[in-house]
Amino acid sequence: MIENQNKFITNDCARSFSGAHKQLQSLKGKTLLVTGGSGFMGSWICELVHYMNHEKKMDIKLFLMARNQARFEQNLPHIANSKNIKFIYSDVTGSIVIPKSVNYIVHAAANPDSRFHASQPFQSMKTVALGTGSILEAATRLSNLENILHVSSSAVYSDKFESKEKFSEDLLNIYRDNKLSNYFSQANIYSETLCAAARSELRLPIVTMRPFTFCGPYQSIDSPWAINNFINDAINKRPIRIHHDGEVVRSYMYGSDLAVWLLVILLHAKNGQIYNVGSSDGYMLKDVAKKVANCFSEIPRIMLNTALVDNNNHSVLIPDVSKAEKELSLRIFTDIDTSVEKSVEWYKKQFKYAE
Amino acid sequence: MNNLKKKLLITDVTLRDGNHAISHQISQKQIAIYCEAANSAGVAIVEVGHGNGLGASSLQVGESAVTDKVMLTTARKYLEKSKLGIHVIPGFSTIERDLKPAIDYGVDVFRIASHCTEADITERHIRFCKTQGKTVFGVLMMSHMANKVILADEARKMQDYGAEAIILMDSSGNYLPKDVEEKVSFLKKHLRVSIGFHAHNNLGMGIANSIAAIQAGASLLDGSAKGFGAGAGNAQLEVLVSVLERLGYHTNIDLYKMLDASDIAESALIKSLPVISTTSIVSGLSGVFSGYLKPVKRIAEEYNIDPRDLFFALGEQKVVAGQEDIIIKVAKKLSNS
Amino acid sequence: MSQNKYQVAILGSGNIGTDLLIKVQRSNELECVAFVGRNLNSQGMSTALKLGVTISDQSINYFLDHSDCIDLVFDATSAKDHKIHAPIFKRLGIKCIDLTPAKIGPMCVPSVNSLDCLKEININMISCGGQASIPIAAAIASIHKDIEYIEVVSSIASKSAGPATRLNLDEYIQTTEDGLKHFSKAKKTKAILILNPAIPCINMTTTILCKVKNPNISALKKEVAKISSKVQSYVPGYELILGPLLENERIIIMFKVRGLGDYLPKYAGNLDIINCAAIAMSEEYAKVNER
Repeated sequence: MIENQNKFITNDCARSFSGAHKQLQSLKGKTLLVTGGSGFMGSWICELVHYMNHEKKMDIKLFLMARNQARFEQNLPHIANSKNIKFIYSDVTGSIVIPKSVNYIVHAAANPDSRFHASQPFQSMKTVALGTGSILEAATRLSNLENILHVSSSAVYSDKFESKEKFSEDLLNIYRDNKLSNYFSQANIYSETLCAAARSELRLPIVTMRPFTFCGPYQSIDSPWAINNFINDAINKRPIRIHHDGEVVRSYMYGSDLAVWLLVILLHAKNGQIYNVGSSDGYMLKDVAKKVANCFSEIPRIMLNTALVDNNNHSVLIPDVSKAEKELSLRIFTDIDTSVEKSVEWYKKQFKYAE
Repeated sequence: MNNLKKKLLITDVTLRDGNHAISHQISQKQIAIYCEAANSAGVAIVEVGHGNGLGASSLQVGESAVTDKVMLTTARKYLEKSKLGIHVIPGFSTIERDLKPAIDYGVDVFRIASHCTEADITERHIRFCKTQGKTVFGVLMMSHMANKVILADEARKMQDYGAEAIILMDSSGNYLPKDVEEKVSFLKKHLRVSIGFHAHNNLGMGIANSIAAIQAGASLLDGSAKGFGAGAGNAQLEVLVSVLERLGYHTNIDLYKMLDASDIAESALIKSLPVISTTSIVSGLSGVFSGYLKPVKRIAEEYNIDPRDLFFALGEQKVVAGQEDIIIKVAKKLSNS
Repeated sequence: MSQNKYQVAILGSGNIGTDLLIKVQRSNELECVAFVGRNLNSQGMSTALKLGVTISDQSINYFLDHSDCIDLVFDATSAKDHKIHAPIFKRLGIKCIDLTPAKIGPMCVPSVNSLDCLKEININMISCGGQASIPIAAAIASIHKDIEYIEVVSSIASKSAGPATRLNLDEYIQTTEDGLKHFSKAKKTKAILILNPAIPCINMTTTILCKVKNPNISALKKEVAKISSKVQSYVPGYELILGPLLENERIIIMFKVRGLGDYLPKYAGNLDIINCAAIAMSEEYAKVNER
C-alpha cells in the first residue's frame, strides 16, 4: 500500500491510469506545475502523480501553486511530505516565478466556486484575467517548456443551460443574451481568447480544456452539483429531495478519470486545440439519486418535485467528447456506479457516518 | 404552455406583514386561530413572525409581543397541509442564534431577504438553509429602488447561492402595473428560477400589480387576509384568490374557506381594517418603506410636524427598511426649520 | 530607521492596511518599518513603495527573519489567517493589534480600557459598531447600575461594505454583542447592521437604544459628552447628532462617524473608526515604551 494514501484512492488511480498508461509514460521524469493546486482538480492531480511515482516509479516532479497551503496540507497530508511534490505559495495575480525546470503547466487557478463568482464577480474576473496573463508571461521565460493546459469551463457554452443537445467544441456562443452579462461565462471566454493571443504573439504552446461535471473525493459537499446534494441528504439521514421531476439529465466523471484525461491532453494534444472533458453518458437525476440511495444500508426515500415551485426545464448539460475520444484515445475508466459508490464512501468517512 | 392551467404558489403573509400593522403585537392565540383557518383553506405557505422577520424584535423596529419561538412553535401545531414559512433579513438575524432554532421549530420555507441592491448579504443564510435540506426563496425588498438590470443581477446572485425562487417586494406600494410587468418579465427572461411578487396597496394597485406579475410570468404571489399588512396593507388575499380563479389560475385554495379565514382574521386579529390613508398615499408616492407608517405618525406628532412632510423628507434620504432611527433625526431637523 | 520612534509593521496590504499606513506616517510616535502582504501587485503595495516604506510579499514569513526590529504589528488580514499568525507573533515577542474578527486576545476600546490593554500582547478591536457604541454603553453603565438591555444599530454606506463584511455579518453581530455585554454588563444586548445604497453615500450612523430602570438623562448627557470628546481625540469625525433623549420608553443616542479620508473614502467612517482606534492604542504602547 502506498504510504498513507487512501487505499481506495490508490485503486482509483490504478484503474484510471491503466486505461491510458501508454500515453502517460511521456510524463516520466518531467516537471509539472499546477496553478490552483488546492482544489478538487489539483488534489486529484496530486494523488495521481503520487501514485505514478510510487507504483510506476515515474519520478515526476510536481509543483502546486496556490494560496491555501493549510488546506492542501490538511487534505493531502501524505503528499505534503513527499519529496517530489512541493507547494509554492503564490498569488497568481502578483508577480510569479516559475521554477526553471518546469516542462508542463496546468493553469487551473481561474475557476473558483460559482458562488464566489456570484458575490465577487469583479475580483473573480480580475483573477481570471490577471492570473492567466501572469502565468503566460512567466511561462515565456522557461527554457524547457513543452506544453500549457488552460482549464476553462463549460460555462463558455451557455449562460442558461438551455440546450437539449450535447455541447460540442464548435458550438460556442450560441446561447447568449447581451442584456445581462454573465460574468463567469464571459471571464472564461476572455481567458480562452487571451491564451489564443499568447499563442500567436508569444509563441507559447497552449491547449484548452472545458470541464463539465464531476464527482468524487475532494469536492466540498455543499458545492452546487446535484449529486453532492443527494449525498448530503442521505448522510444526514433525510429523504433525498429532487426539486424537479428528476428528468434533468446530467453526466458525472470521476476525479481520477479527470486527472488522467487532463494529463493526456496536456501531454498529447496538438497546439491550439480545445477539448471538452467529462462524461458523455447522461443519466436522469432521479436515477443518480437511486444509485446514491442504494449505497446506504437504510435506503433513504427519494422525493421528487420537492420544490414548491415549478422550475422544470429539462435541461441537458452533457459534453460531446468524441474529439477527445478519437484524437486522444480517451474513454471513461470509472463507470457511474463505481463513481457514485466511491463518492459516497468518501463522504461517509469525512462525516464519520454511522450506518 | 396553456396559461389557463398554470399553477400558482400563494404565500399568506397575514401573520407576518400584518404584524407591522399592530406594532408586532400579534398574540399566540391569534396565531393559533388564524393558522387553523388558513390551513383549512389550503393556502400553500403561511408566513409567521415579526414584521421585519426572524430575530428582528428590537427597540429599533419594535419589540414583538411574543418570542419567535412561541410564534413558530404555535403556528407549527396548526399547520398541516400548509407549510410554515418565515421572513429572514441577515443583519437582523444570524444563523446560530436564529436560523438553527427555527429549523428545530419545524419551519419549512425560509425566505431570505435583503434590500434590493444588497443580495450578497444573503449568501451564507441561503447556503445554510440549503445544506439543511430546506426550501429557500430569495427576497428583494424595496425593489422599486433599482432598475430591472440591477434587480436581475442581484436576483441572479441569490439564484446562484441556491434560492429556488426570487420574490420581488413592492415594500412601499410604489409600483404601477407597467412597472411590475417590465421587471418581472425581464427577470423571467434572465433567471432559471421562478419569480414571485409581493404587493402593497398604497396606491390602490395591490391586486392589479399582482395580476400584472402573473401575466408577465411570475408564479408566486403574496397576499394577506383583508390586506392586513404594513402601511396600506398588501394585496387582499381573498380578493386575489377570487380574481385568479376567474382568470383560470390554480391556487389549490378553497375559495369559501379563504373567505371564512379572512372574516376570522377580521374578528380575531385585525383592530382596524387597512385603508389607503393620506399618509399611506404619501409613503407610496415617496417610495418609503410601508413599515414606517406607525413610527412616522407617532414621531410626527411628538415633534409637531406634518407626517406627510416627514415621509417626503425620508423619501429624499432614500431610506431603506430598518432605519427607524433616522425618522427621529429627520423629524427633529424638520421641526427646527 | 530612527531609534526613538516605536517600530510598527502592517500585515495585510488591502484597503485597511493601506489606510493604517497613511495614519502611521502621520503619527509622531510611530514609524512603519514594513508593509507586508501576499501580492506585490496590489495598490496598497504601490502606495507603500511610493512612500518609501519597505514592502514584502512574504506574508507571515517576513516576520520570522525580521522580528528584532519590529515592536508591534497590525494584523489586517482575516480571522482565519490571524489564528495562524497570533502564536507566531507571541513566540517572536511582537505585540499585536488584531483588526480581524478572530478575537484571540482581550477586546480594546481605547477611550474605555486602554490602560488595561497596555499589559497585553494581543488585543482585538472588536468591530466598527463596537468602537462607535461601546464608549456610550460604558457611559450609560457608569450611571445606571442595572441595564436591562442595550441595542446598537449601525447603518453604513453600501459602498463601504466589502465582501469580507458581507460574508461575515453574523460574526460582526456576535462580536459586537459580546463587546457590548462585556463593557456595559447589560443583561441582554443586540446588534443590527444595515447597509444603505443611497448616493451620495451616507456616513456611518450608529444609534444606541437602551432600556434601564429609572433613566437619568441629565447625568447621562454629561457622561456622554465627556466620553465622546475622549473618542473625538482619536476619531475627529465622531459626532453626537441626537440625544441622549427618552422616546417611547427607550434611551436613544445617535452618533455619526465621518472618516478622515486618508486612503478610504470619507463616508467609510465604519472602517476609519476601527483604524483610528488601533492607531490610538498603538501610540499608547509607544508612550509606555519610551519611559
